[in-house]
Amino acid sequence: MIFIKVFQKLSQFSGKVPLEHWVSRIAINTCLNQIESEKIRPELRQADLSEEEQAVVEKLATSPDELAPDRQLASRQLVEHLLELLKPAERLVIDLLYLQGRTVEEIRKITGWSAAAVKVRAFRARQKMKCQLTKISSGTNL
Amino acid sequence: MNPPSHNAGPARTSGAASDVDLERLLRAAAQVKDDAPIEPPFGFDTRVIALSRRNGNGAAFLLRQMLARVALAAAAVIVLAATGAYLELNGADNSEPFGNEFAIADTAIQDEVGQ
Repeated sequence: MIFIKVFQKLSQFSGKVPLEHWVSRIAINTCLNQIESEKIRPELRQADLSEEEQAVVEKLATSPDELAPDRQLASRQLVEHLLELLKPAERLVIDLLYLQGRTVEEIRKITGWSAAAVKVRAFRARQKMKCQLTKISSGTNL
Repeated sequence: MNPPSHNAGPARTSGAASDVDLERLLRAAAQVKDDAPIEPPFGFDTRVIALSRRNGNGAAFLLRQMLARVALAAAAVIVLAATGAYLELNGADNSEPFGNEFAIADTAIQDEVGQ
């Protein structure tokens, strides 16, 4: 996204400041805008999901089996959507614990949090993700 | 914390997502490795340079900018030199009485020596 913005706004580059500073400014503004947009809409709508992601949600609700390998990419994208709704600390702990497969001890060393804090944040994050998944699932089944 | 279980549970009927559902989802998501390098798209730098030159940010723009700076510096030097010359001329007028004093002194000394 940042590269696209740089390319689109290149005509506005005056050349009075180094290009690196100008690109850095665009990157910072893009990130700030993204954070603001996440604050504005902390809900995940069914329309935000692709057909594959909706199929994953439906599969989770209707079948007890593990998701097929061809649904892994959609699963990842769905998880990314769910992670966007979490606080940064919760997002980090879910990423480290479940997506990267690290242990609580490793996370404790990486983050400097206590083991109890890691577990509490993971628990809260999972609760939020489950809540969102339930909302999406109920919307999908309608 | 208990590690994620790999045993799939029964399909839920209540509509609420369970821990098992979430763990299945996370296990599937974890299989996808997100190791794509963060780098500009292919040819991005070439396009940026081309667009920059087309928009006047290229060598000609830099040359114009440099010439403008040189002209500005030259103007500043001219102003300083003119100011210095003006002050020097005014200063020469003020120093004339001292010259006269020295001339009178020289004359007086010569008269003294002549006597």
